[in-house]
Amino acid sequence: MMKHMLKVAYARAYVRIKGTNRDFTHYIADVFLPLLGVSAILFAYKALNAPEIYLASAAVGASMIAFWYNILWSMASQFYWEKEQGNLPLFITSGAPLTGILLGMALGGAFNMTLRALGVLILTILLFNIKLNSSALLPTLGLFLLTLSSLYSLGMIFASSFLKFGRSVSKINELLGEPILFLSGVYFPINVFPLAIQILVSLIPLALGIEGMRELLILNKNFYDIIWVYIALIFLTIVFAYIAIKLLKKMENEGRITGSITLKWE
Amino acid sequence: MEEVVNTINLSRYFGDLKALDNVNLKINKGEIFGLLGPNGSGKSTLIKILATLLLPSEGEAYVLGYNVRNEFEKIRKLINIVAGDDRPGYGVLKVKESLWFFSQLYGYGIKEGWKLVNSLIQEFGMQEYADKRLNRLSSGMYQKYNFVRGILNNPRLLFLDEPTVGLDVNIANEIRAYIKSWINEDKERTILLTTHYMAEAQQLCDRIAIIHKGKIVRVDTVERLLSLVSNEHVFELKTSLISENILSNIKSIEGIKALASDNDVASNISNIRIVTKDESIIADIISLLRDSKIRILNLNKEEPTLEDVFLYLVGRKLR
Repeated sequence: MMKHMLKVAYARAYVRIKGTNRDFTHYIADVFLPLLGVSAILFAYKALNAPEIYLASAAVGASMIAFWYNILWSMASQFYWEKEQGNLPLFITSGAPLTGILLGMALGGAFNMTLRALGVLILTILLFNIKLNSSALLPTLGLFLLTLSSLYSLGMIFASSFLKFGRSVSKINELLGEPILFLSGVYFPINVFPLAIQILVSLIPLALGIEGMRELLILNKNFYDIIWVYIALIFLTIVFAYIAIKLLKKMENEGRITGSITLKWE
Repeated sequence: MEEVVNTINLSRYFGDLKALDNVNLKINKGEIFGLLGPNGSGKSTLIKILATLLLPSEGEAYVLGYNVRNEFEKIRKLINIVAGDDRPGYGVLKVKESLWFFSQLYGYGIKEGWKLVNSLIQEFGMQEYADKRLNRLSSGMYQKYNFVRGILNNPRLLFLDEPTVGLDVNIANEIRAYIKSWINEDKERTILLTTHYMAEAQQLCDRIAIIHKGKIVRVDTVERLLSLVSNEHVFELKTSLISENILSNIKSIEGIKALASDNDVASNISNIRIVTKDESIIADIISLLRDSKIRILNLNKEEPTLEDVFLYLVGRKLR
């Protein structure tokens, strides 16, 4: 079962990576357009003579935006599109574990978005002469991977929910877009929020990840200083993944009862 | 004879709508079994239940001896579906990549999957477009690819849901030839086919179930079904637009077994298909039409087809 799941995950990740990178023109949209967005903020910070850490903070945050949109628009709604295309019934009747499909979608999406995030970050660093703590690369990499794990586990929960609610959930996507980015402190540190909101925001893996990376890369803190972030992200990954797997099974069973797996335009 | 499908008083509701109504059906190993019915007759619902995508509301269904309710995982290893109006796969992938992707879903090894795909591409003469992206395929190429995808796991029961819908005659015939040769290759294989095309059903199916409003009206071989109307006479009439009133009058003529009509309001033309017991009855019909000031534009005597069997049994046209 595990072997089959990994094979399915590999195949689904292959689709995502191969499909996306077959056409390189998307890098223009994926790297240069976000670069314009972050540039506007960095120019504003420069004009206001903001401290260097604000610029670095915005650069790190901006490079992570892509992951959130990928979760919402590629991960969460993917099962809905798979259903519309006629793929979902075939996935189900093939006997392939749907968790493998979700895992593959997550791995493929994370890989693609990492290329894009690196592109944005490197160009921002070069263009705006941003200085980051290069000695913290290893703990940052670990933190980054944990952030992605918990973020894409959350994406799996969204994907399962879409299976039940169909395209009406796309409105929730729109609703979750900007507010989550705002609360995650993409362009500013979240310690500007009152404590209660900071605690609430800690449930968003993106916010935790970005905050941790800032502490490591900008504020020169070490792994032990922010170990709670690592623990929180591991905890969120386990909880989200567990919920996602349970929810997926539940949605599949409910789909067989209601017909929502096969009825299109639902 | 070994049963591949067995349904017992199978019903399925969607809210108040009864999509399947006490369906009792047995499909034998090795046959191409046709399901014939208009849109909304319950064909797709039945297929979805047998393919483990939908649960029955009442009754039981067994596929290859396994219950669809609680043994669906065993069933899934032995079946596959090809739906004519779906475009499964990913447009950005090439044909061979997409087939490989599906091979992985069926549990083949990575290299084993490529080997299988390459051999199927050869076997089905798809080399020319194996490296084309799915979003650049013609309908015919796509359906051929879809059929190959459907047999990747060598299913013991293959569901073909309108496999040639929208295809031109040559490609449709090619697909039908593949279907025929695929089933003839191995006696363990069975096909459940739904189609709107009478010729397709006649050409491919060993037995046919006529389904209407969720109920199985009749199950028999093509020959036996045709024999229901073989002694009848079928006329196809094209007239000026005809009212319901006049149609009722025609229906009331003694000896008329079945009648179906459709009106083309744009061109003011009605097409009427009539099954009669006696050839001479057409004279009464013509006389009635003349008295009603309806112009007869064309009158043909036709050979009875499955369409007429459907008309005869159900009282309406299939399409």
